[in-house]
Amino acid sequence: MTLIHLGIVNAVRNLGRSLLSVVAMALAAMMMTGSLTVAEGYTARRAAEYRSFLGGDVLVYPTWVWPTRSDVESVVPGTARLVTLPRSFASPLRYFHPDFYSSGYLTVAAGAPSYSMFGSRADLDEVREVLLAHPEVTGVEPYRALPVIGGSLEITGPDGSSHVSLGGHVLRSSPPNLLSDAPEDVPGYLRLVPAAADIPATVMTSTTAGTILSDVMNWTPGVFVSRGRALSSADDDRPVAVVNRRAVLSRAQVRDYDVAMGLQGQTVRLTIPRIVPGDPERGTGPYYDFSRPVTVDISVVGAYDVASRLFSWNPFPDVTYYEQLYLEAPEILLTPAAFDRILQAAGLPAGELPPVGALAVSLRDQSKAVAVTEELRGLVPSLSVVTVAQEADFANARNLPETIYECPPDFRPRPLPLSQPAVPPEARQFFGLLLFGFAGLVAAGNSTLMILSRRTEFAILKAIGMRGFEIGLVVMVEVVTLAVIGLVLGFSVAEVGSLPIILTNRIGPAAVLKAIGRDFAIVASATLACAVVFALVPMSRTLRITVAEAMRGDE
Amino acid sequence: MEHLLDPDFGREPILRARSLNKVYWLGTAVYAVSNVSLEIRQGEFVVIRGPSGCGKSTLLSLLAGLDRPTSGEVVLDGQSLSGLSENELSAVRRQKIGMVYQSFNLLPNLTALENVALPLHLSGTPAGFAGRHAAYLLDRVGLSGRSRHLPTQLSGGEQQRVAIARALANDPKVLMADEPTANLDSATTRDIRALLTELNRDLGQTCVVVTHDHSLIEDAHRVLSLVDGRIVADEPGGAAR
Repeated sequence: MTLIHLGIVNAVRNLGRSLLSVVAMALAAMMMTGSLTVAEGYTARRAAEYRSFLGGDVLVYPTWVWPTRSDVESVVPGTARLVTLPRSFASPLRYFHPDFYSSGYLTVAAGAPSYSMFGSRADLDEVREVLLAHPEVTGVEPYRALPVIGGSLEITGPDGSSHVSLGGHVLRSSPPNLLSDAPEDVPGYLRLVPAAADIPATVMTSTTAGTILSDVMNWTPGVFVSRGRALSSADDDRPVAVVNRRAVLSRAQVRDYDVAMGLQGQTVRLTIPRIVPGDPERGTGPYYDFSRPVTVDISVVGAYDVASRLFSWNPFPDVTYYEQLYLEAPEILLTPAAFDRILQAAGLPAGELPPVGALAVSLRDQSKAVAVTEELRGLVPSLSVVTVAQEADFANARNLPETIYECPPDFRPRPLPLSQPAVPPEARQFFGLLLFGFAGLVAAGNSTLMILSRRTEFAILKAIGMRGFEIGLVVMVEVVTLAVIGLVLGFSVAEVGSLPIILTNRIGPAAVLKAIGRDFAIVASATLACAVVFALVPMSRTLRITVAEAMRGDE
Repeated sequence: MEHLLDPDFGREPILRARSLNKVYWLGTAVYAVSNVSLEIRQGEFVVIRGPSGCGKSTLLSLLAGLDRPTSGEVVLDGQSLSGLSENELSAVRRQKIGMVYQSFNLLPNLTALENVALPLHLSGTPAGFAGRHAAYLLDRVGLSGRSRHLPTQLSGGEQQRVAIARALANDPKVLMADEPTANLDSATTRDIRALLTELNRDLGQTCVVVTHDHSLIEDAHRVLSLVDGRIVADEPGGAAR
């Protein structure tokens, strides 16, 4: 008790030193918490709009998108070829890697997929099973879409009515998370977000930071219904659809909220390619026959927008302009059941291989996305597995996938070249680790200095007969007491600072509490371990020398 | 050496040093203490004097087990300090040695009472008794009214008195003091000198004091003169004459 009392007395009565130590530990804990919680929060929210729209956290592509170094090294010289994806192949690749459809890409596959990334239904099912077997995978949703050859949507505005061509759009099976009655296990941040009410046509708001120039700002990234209604499972029995407002209206029309789209059930006749079933005997899969198109009628009941990132630039010093960007994906969404009926109308027998442009994989824990993706790569080595967040990072660095209207070209960042990157970059993890390590150094340095500056004190304690382990206990009580106070303060401040991010993730109170608990455990372990270890090491060295040496050395 | 046979000191040596050497290697061997042998009997007041840098403090550190000799042996109360571990040496210091330093070396975060009580607590003395005994010792050194003060709230002389009280806490076999009056004014020096003399005379406390202070030499039974780490004279002090 004497030793514990002495440790606490040291901490309490030497306020200056203790305060410095607490501040250092709080700083370390803050940095650690920041590197964890902000990263986690950001991970949960990272590219949520793209993930919501695509229906998963990780994409599985038919070909190399992010070839690893070992992939490249394993290629037999002469087998990799430059191929170009045909326009009929509907895949998220068209948003993130449009160059694959124009310039082409290197692959060792026999050829570019035009109907589906899989050769047969069995291949699709096998890959799905393999992916679903991973404990962190909660779902595998095929990105099922088929190209629209022709059709038009009538819109009316102050200048009368006009028809917008839907040629070049794709009919796509909506991911379950975008239905208004999405399954309960879909996290909040992947569901439809509420549309901002009463949005004026153009927002130009002056602030102290300058003028915010925004075209219909939504502020909450994600998919929201901007006209009419959303799809629901009640629409399974009827061919109703929603269109991307940004893909069918001109830029001027998008701004004009008087433009009506007739979305209370406008029937649209679409021309789509016929699907020729595969022939198992000849080993061929289904394919499109554009020479014998099929027409289908759909009823457009709503329009959606995919609000993505907020793009900013500085035209003048101290003035920042913001522009809300939208993914103008030309996709007409139907419920999965309605899409199945369209496929059947196009000639695909029930149970046959649908047109699959990618697989959207949902994960249990966003903070493990990169690690799980690495593992999934090992499970399906012939395919390309990429997190949506990585895709978004890479695309954003090339000013993709959204169109930027307001920012003058001179102020846009210099885009990365259109090429297949050789190695997946994950810079954020590195910087997170760097910050965490720096915080550890702060905690360690604080502890070490606290010990090294007190050689005389330890010498006095030894001179009056205190044994080494007794001095160690006194110091440990002091170090741990101050570290815990600093830890709690730093963690609390950092956590409060992270709240806006955590709460806007809408991952639910239970998940937030769990994340906070886990963060605290990690930060507490790291700070306390640093504090204790880096106090013990110099202390054990100090205590090994004689009292006389200690006193001499400190003078 | 005549006085060692004086029947007034007819007691066993409490502290013995045999052929003590302390060598520092600074390119060449520098002998801080060279071949020192001595015996200090119980109840003696011994002063070690000499010019600055002659090895007085080093010798005291060796005698107190605060430092290890390069060669030679120190025997305190029949127990050789050679070969003892740091923890064993701490135990010896706790039980048998009271140290007083020139710079007081009080623990800055503890009050006068807590500083004095700490060695008692470390010896396992019950808290109540430790507190009472520490208060008694502070009273003994004339600081009963200053027991709740931190060292920074005490004068130099008061701090040195606290240090002496702390050194006495566990009833040590030998009280060792390294320049105990060097940082004090003359009036305070007189007080500390009187206190040490009184402890030796009234309580029979064995004292070994390193000092330049001639007044302390006057109070000593023996004066050991050190030059270049060697004892060049072992003479009776003022108290023995």
